[in-house]
Amino acid sequence: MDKTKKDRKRITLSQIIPTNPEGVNVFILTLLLTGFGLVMVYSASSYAASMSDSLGGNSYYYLTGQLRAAIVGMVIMAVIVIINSTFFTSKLSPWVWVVLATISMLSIVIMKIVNPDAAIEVNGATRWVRISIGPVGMNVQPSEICKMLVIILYAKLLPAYKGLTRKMSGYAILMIPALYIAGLIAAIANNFSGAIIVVGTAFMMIMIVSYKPRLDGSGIAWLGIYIGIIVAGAVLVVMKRWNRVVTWYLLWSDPSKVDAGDEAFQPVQSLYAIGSGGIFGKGIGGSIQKLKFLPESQNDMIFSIICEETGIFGGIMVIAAFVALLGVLYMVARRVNNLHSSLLVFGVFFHIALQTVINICVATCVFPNTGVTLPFISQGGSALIMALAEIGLVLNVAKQIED
Amino acid sequence: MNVINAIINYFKEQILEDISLVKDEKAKAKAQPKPVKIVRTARLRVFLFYVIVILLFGIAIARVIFLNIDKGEEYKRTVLSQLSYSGTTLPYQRGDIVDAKGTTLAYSQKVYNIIIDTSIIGYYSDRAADVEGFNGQYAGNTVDALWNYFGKDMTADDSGRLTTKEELRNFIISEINKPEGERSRYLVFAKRQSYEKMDAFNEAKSEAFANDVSSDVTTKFDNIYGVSFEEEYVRYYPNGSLAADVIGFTEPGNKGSYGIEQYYNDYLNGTDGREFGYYNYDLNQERNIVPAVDGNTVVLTLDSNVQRIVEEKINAFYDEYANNYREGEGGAHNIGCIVMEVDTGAVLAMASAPGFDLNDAKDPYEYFTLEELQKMQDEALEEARIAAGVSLNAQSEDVNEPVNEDIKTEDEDEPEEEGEEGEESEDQGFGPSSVATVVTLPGEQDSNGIYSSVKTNALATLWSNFCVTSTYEPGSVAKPFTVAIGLDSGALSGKEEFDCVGEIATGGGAKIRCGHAGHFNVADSVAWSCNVALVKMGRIIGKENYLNYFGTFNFGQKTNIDLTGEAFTESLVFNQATMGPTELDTCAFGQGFNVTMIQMASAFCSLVNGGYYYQPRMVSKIINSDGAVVENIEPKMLRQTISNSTSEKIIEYCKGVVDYGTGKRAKAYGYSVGGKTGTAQVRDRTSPDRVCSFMGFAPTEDPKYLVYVVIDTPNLPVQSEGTGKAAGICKDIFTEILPYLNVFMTEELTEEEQAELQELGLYNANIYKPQESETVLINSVEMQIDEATGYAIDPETGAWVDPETGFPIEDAETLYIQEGADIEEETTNE
Repeated sequence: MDKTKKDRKRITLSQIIPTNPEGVNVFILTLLLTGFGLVMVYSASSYAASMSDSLGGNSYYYLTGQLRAAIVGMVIMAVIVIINSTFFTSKLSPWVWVVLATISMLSIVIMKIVNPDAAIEVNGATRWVRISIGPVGMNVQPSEICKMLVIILYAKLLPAYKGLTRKMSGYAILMIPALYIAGLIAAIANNFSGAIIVVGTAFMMIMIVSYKPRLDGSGIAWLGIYIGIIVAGAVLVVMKRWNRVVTWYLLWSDPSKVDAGDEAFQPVQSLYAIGSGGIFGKGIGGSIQKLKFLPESQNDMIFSIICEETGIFGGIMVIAAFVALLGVLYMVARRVNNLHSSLLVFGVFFHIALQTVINICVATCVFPNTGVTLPFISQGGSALIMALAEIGLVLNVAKQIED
Repeated sequence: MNVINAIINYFKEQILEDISLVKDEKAKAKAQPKPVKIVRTARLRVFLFYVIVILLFGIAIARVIFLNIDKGEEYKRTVLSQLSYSGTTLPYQRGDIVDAKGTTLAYSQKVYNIIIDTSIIGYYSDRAADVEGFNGQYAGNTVDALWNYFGKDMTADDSGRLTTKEELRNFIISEINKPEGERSRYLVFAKRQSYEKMDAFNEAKSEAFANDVSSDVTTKFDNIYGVSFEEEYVRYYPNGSLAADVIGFTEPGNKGSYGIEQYYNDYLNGTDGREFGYYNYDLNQERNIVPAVDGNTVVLTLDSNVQRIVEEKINAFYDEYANNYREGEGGAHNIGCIVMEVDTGAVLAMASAPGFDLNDAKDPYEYFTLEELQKMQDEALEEARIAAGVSLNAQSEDVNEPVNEDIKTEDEDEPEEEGEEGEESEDQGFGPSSVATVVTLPGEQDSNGIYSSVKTNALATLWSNFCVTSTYEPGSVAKPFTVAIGLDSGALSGKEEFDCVGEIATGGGAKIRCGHAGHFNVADSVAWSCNVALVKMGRIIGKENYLNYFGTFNFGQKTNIDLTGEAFTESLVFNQATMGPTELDTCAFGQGFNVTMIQMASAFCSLVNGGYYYQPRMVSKIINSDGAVVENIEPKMLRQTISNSTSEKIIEYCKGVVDYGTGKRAKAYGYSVGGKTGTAQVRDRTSPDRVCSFMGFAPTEDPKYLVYVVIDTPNLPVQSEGTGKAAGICKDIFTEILPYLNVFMTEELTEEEQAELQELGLYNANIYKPQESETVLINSVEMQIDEATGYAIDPETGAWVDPETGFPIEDAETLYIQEGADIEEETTNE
């Protein structure tokens, strides 16, 4: 702890590289996960990329993109760390973040009209916007930006408005900004899982600061409404994705009986990959499933490839790394006595926890199939950049830690 | 390690602290300043959430471990086997169909479809997109190269837009200009190109690439991208329409339709091979090939030379009498002909007219004029209208048509004075105009307004094998069977004589007529085809004998010939319950029950080969792609139908038919032919339609081959004349095939016959030599000494052999002609 004191006295470098133990832990774990992610993205994608005519047979295609995103993400992380820690707690109106989120989502719509070539459509959903500065271009996914903006927004909102939670109706009011942004994500980018992550993160952040709400007459009425909405929503989702639910059930009973031609193909292949790994796996680069059979193997299903190539051991190590990362995030939040700052960290905590749990549980068929990526590891530039930026927020907060 | 230790330590400390926090939170709460309290509450809740997350991770880990322990081995195998199922499919080659002499009748050839993937052209031109006009250049180069090699075979795409080079080029450019995911990846440029063409194209392409690397010279076929080849096998029938009914054709996916192609589909098809990549132990990618197993070759008993002769003859009739009496129709509704080897049941030829081209079987306009299709459609519409009308007026209509019992048969070479038909009973009430219902037929209408169902029906009739699928009443050809049943069962002795006054009343009161009157013994009854005599014989034989022998001759059963679509006639013959006195009478001369041609031919073989019934067969063996015999199909003798002596008598009676009876026209040059004529009425006894047929066999000394000709509804003003024509066709066929099949002539030729044979090129060593010549044993073969030359004749080859040395005489050709001249002189001297 004495060391920390000394280090804080250094000026520029200490502003970027965290020096207190909490910060160091967060930073090291982030580097580990990102580095491992680069290895796995290359391993999982190189064969498919080299076979792809549209990628020109370039086996480094995904690795290059991911590496570039990692570098950009690190730079953004550094910038966020350097920013005065009061920037996010400043008088800046919370609505700035709502406006920013709106603009970033609307950029897709605008791009579609202004420059259709820069609005990248895949499978009927426009999720990316191409930003070109001179010869260097990058595809940005606005919904990933929104996830971080929601964390900052609620960290700013909640300390001021947490009193609302004394009444049941207050929860509805507090959810409005998150629902609005989630609505934009779902409507414009057709990104259902992204919207769920946004709502889930905001909801968890509200829950941790909430007071015990009064359960008077109107309170019970509101509770009834919430339960009604949740049940209706759940029913709607289950009905819309009924096939996935059925598939999920079948996968628990006997995967080999599931017809591989339909929606079950990806989950079945994922189980084959995981199950065929053994204790130490087939060695990095040794996956067979990635050759052809596991769609999105470098993306949503990268955990399966990790289990196939590095076995039970590798799978447990990756999960352990995430548990540790969440643990150190928790430590950071624990060490600041400032609600706003700790909410920032908790927001990041919830975001990473939700995505990690959903992704890994989908890969192992604990949950039905949804398209959520594994933070730091899955291929996807925007997601990696924003995850690193969020870690920047955490490191920024970690700077405030005093003994 | 320090880092990890640090993490773990921190972790431990903080968690313990937080757990104690839960305990004394309330106590501490009041003491803490407000924001800190809130932070602590939040922290506690996050901690709970964290525990849930860890639990979920625990489940995931448990699942990973469980999957590995429980299903690990199974999944490892699944993963590997999945891998081997993937990769490129290498199509197998469907086996050939060859005739008895090895002539190929059907084979499959590998061809290549040329596919353009515009996204690949687009990818390369995108990379060069800085230079204006590259899209056009890359597309242009690719199209130019393709056009140069496959241009004339270019297939317009589905919508028919792209027919010229320019259009194709513009289309590709427009595709390239689309965003990446929307470019067409599958554009068929040309179909079914030969290997040679594909190879030439690839060579030019690789040369162009080589030039690119080695020098800056840009060749003509530079920058060709996005062209790929799909392998496919196409079925070819080198002889076109020859034996079309027998062979059948294939649908896409090697699915046989009709004939041998369908019946032997499983033998002809092979197993697809695979080509796949995998990683070896050193993680290098390997390629592995499991070769395809090609299909087996089916060897027919059919002889394509005999088949060709048969088809020539029946087609000649079909064409000659087309439009003869009924305008707009061929020479008959159908003409069928079967040539069989009497002693084995092997089919040497099977044909029907009209035929079709196997290479182009599916275009109805190829075989039917628009008017014909129109007519068929009108008839079908009429029927549909009547059906609609009947269903509307079902109660008011009496559908039971009185059956006209007035039955008669006629035979060629007979006057037909008493041919007065029974009274008209065409008083059915519903005319086509009585119900004005709009009716449609199934299927879609084409540009000519013809429904697809009409076309399908028309083609199905054409494709079906008349010789095994169609049933008809055999008529007088059945008379030898009646006589054989009588003789073999002992009911007849062969010495009976019958009086005929031209007609006889059946048990049912109807009259059976006969074209003549007189006093006939058994032989003459057959020779003159006397209905009355046969009815009388039938009555002597009796119902029990008749039904027993019918089963023995296989009537009412399938012959199980190895062809698709054989008709099952059980319901079309009489049984114990349905055969009354009238039926017995009609059966005796071949009316009232239905048969297929192959049934008749097979049963007749047993009449003339000593009484042995062989299952008719088309295939003699099946050999695999390496030439090894997979299966030999031997002649299958099923049962003895009649005794040897009965068979001899039948041969004698049938010889009489040709020698002096109704079948004189079937006499083949130089051979003694036996046979039986048949002119059968059709189901509707008032109709003028006849099924004219002739069953012939030769030589009568030891019957070897059987020819059965059936002309269904000849296009003649007097249809019964068709029977003589059938006998004539039989004669033409025998005259040509017997010398080809190396059957020695047993009778002298007249001058005209000789001239005709010489013209046909059939005047060869099989010619009958009237001289009683000595025989000599040369090389342990018994050879005849020819008196004119003094040389011996090798019975195998017909070549001349020096009796002293046993060596063949070289100039046999010239000697044949001299010999021919000698015979001519002798015959003129007589």
